[in-house]
Amino acid sequence: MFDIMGKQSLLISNNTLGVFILFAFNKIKLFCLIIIYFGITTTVVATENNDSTAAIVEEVVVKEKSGIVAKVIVTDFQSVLIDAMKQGKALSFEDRSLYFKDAILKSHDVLKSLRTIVGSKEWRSFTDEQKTQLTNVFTKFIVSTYAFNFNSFSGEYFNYVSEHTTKKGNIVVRSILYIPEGKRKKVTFDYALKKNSEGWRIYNIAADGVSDLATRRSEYRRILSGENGFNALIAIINKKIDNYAK
Amino acid sequence: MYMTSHHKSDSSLFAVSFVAITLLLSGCSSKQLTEDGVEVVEVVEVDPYEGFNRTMFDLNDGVDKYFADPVSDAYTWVTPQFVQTGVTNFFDNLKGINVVLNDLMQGKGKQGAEDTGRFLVNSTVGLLGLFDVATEIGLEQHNEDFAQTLAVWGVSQGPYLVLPLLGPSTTRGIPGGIFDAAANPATYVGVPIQVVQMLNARANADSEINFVEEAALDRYVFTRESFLQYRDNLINDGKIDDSDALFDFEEEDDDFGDEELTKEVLDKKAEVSDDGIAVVDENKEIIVNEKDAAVQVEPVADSSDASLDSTE
Repeated sequence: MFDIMGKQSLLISNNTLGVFILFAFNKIKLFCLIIIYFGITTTVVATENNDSTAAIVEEVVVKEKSGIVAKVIVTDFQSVLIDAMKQGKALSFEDRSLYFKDAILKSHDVLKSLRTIVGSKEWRSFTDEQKTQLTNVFTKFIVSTYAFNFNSFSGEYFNYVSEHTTKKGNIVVRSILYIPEGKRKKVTFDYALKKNSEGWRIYNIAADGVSDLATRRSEYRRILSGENGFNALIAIINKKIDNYAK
Repeated sequence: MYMTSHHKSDSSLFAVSFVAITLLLSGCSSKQLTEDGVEVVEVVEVDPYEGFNRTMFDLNDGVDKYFADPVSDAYTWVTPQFVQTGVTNFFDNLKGINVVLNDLMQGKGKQGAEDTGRFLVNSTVGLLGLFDVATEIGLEQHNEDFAQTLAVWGVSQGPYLVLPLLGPSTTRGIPGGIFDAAANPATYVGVPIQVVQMLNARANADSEINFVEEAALDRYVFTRESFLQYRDNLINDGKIDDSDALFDFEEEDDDFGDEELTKEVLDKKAEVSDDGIAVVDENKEIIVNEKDAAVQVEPVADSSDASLDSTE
């Protein structure tokens, strides 16, 4: 972006210079100077037009191939994971948490996932304070889980496999995590993306067919249905976060 | 990563536990409705014997904690990695016969031929299966067993069961396990070999068991859900269908009453509360980045750099 801005300001200052020259010099050269002036002006206009056309074209491409964006959301997130793993012990748990939090908020719709986990009936029964508290604790838990588990590197890599649009227009991006030194050599990850106002966002992840949302849903609902369920849930999640941070 | 218990082992214990289970199920099934006098929570359809299952789960957990885990740690400690890999390959290769049988029973002719080739290559060139040469030449390992075959034949899954010492299963898994044991040569050799097999299986599952320990809010529920989904995934060979199964869950209704509530609003509120990790300024910055990202299609490496920058 800075490059384009730089060129534009250069052209505009040339343009101003052109006007200055126009009035300062004698009439003999006027004709030539007018031509130069118009030449420069035309260049500026043309450059501007080109720019905006390019931007529009780019935007259309993005809109038309929204599937590519869904894929990029996933591959960007995975490259953050691999990158953090490669840095290994150079990053502390807190460093990785910050790094992952940023990446997760960019690529996941945590709130939508949480609502589904809790269920609409239960969610509606929460006060605003409870919703805020649970959302924050839940986000922190997800972040901590990543920060704790993705902490060392032994040649792991993700391979993009396919992208699949479901009946309802959602997208599933499939990729495989290869673990060269692991006892399980590969794990298939299916990223389920839904579109919200900000674009495609990861809503659910399945590892070898085990859906994160479905599993959490059973767990969270079980705890919420018990006595003093909300506080119990918060307490259990906080305990898990503390264990990760140790 | 999420899996605990597909390293099911094994065999001689089966007869004993099968009898034990039949007895226990009839006795314990009423327990499902009470748990330490706490008012009960809905009965999950797939898990009608939850009371019994939880008891077995705790039993297995105890055995694992005080016996299997320490012993397998010792095994891991004294055994060089290449030996462990060899042992794993050896037992995997013996399972190969059963895989071929089940390929054929499920009508997977091509896969059956591949797995036959795999077994022959590993048994010969791979020195009785100690080396997995077949994978190197492109014959990948498949996971088939009799419980999957029964599912393909249309036998319904039946209730979830936690078997003593053997772990998670379903009623369909019991005949499945018996057949698998019968078709595995390791069943017919001496006890020491079987002990090694069990130790090795436990050692291999170590990181997965630890993962569950750390990540699960309720390990029993977590294990049950993961196990059943993992088995379903094996039955349909990991195919993606277009059914939105990853998106839709049986829901009372889709009205959460606050669809307009956004992350930003909640984050703003988090400014006040202490337990949130959200910092408002930082989030604003992230949102700006998101808008930029939506216009520019950047190469993967670039944008991960960008996200690094924004945390600094």
